Amino acid sequence: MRKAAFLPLLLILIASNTFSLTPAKILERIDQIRAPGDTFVFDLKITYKKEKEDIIQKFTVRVKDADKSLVKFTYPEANKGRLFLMVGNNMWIYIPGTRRPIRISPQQRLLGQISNGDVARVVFSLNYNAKLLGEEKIGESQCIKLELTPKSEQATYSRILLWAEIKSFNPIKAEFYTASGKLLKTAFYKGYAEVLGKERPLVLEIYDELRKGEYSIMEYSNMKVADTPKAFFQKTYLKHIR
Amino acid sequence: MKVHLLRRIAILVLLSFSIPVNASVFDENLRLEYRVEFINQTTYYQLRNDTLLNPDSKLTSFPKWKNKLYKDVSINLTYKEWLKLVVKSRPTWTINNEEESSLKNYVDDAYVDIKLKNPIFLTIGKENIQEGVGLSYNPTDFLSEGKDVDYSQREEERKQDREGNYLVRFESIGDKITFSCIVAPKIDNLQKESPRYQMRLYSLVGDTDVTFSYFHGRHSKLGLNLSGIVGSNTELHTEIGLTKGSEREFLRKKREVGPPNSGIYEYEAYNPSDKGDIFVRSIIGGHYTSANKTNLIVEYFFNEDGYSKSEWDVFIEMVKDASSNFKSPPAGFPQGIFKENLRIANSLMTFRSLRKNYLFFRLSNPELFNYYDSQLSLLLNVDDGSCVVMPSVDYKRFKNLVLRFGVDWFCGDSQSEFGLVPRDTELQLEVKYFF
Repeated sequence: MRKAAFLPLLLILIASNTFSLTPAKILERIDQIRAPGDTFVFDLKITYKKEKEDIIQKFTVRVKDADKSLVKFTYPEANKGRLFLMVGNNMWIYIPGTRRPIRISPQQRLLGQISNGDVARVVFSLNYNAKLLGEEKIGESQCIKLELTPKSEQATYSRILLWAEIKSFNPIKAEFYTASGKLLKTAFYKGYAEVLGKERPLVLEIYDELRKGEYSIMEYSNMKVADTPKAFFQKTYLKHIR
Repeated sequence: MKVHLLRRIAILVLLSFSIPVNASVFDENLRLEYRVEFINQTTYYQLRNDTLLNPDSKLTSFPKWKNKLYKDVSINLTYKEWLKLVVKSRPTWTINNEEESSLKNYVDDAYVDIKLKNPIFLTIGKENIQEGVGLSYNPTDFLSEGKDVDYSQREEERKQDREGNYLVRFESIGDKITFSCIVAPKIDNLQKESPRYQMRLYSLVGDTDVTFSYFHGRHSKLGLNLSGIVGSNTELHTEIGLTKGSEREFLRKKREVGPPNSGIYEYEAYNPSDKGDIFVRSIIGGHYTSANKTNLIVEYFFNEDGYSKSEWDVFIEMVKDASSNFKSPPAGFPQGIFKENLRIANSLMTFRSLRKNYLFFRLSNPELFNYYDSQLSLLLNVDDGSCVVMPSVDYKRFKNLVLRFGVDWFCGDSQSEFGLVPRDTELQLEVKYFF
């Protein structure tokens, strides 16, 4: 009975703590759950669920100073050896056969519903400003709802709606919109497990809103804090990577 | 008999080393990556019966179909992160309807890449270096200009399979600037071109890639490449090459033959004497990606070293004369004179960059109806209105197997660039198996 009496008080405290943070700080807290720091490494598996079959791609991703990412394609064989580099807002892809890194835009698709920017950039706060829209319940979770708008024209999406659990800031759901306001895809953050001292979502399900019925699953693994030499994040270094 | 023997040798060579190993690790220090693709490409040509350069198809005969079977082998051997050996070769067997057959091994890469000190690299061997940011035209791809490419491939694939140059390259990759220096020497029996040197500076300035290059060979050249992103879905690029001296060749009357004032001439090809002039070649373009994965690429390119309208008109008039005289030689003149004149004219045909102004368009979607990587490309000669239309589709339903069907349509009147191509349609079926 006593516990029940304290519960509303606890919720008020959590809520007041949440709303004492600025939207930018809330977004940073959400990002800290998705990324264990500014410099880390992880493996990524993307499964593109089609009508009759699954298409799988695997990658190793190295992140440095939060805004630099190097993505190495490890599966399937046809794509093995490809490298994808993102530095700030700039992106290049290196396909061994083509012999030169090619500049690409964030909107270009990697596989299924996944854009280049989705793989290379784990955090939102680098590219988006946040605005608090209020609270909503998603499933069993009481969530805060943020609206993210691009800091620059190079951001992959024109608008993102992001829901995160009030008490933990765990991201739960996100909606991604085009410049015309059309809903492009919806993502659900799942598979929470303790990694590097925090509960982190290791599964991301992304549903295509333009091609209903199709969706992709991003699975993160082997996440660890590890540094990568600075030179690896130079476009001209890509062809020398062993 | 010879063809049968070649066929057997071809199959033997192409099937050798076909062990399905694509990546092996011997130990922590020595790593081997191995990749093989088998490609069979069958091309059917719908020939033009009568063109100015091949009147009534009597000057030369072109094959009606060609089959090319080749194996693309790539090997990367890495030792302790400081040494990398790269080999890429293409044993290729071709045969056409006239049973002309050839077996040749093309070596695109065979070099060692040594990390002297992070991040300084020394590369020695044969390497197919590809420079530039344009898709349909690369005026700063100085080192490999003139090397054969397969125009039946998609634009981005054409230069992947191209024989390399023997060279030594030093490359220093700094935080802000990458500097590289290449020496491609003349080597008896291996590399007949005069020695070539290239220096290259690269930097990311703001959000723009900037590459500056200086090339010294038979001609001195300067190059500038710029590329960047506008918004989240548009890439823009430009590439400018300046060449000291012209590389084009013209047709001219060498001497009058027969009695005085016969009006019959022997032709010759010649390089104009404007060696001191600077010629500009450039491309500007963009790549837009829509939310539904559709890509639109538009490029305009300019070749100052191409034929102007007056130069083209002179060329066409001479070809018309040679062509009509070849069909009906004037009394007392052997057909051989006109045949040779037409042969020289044919040797000057470098289709796809003969004139000065071109537009390139491509509409593509890599996942149309899930399994079809499809595209429609168009190269338009703005100067004479002729064009080549290139639709193609890759079917990717099967694992490790890609089927491609492509068509090239050459359109234009008989006196235009693409109207002079000896075929009006190319149909191509390609099967690619990789492991």
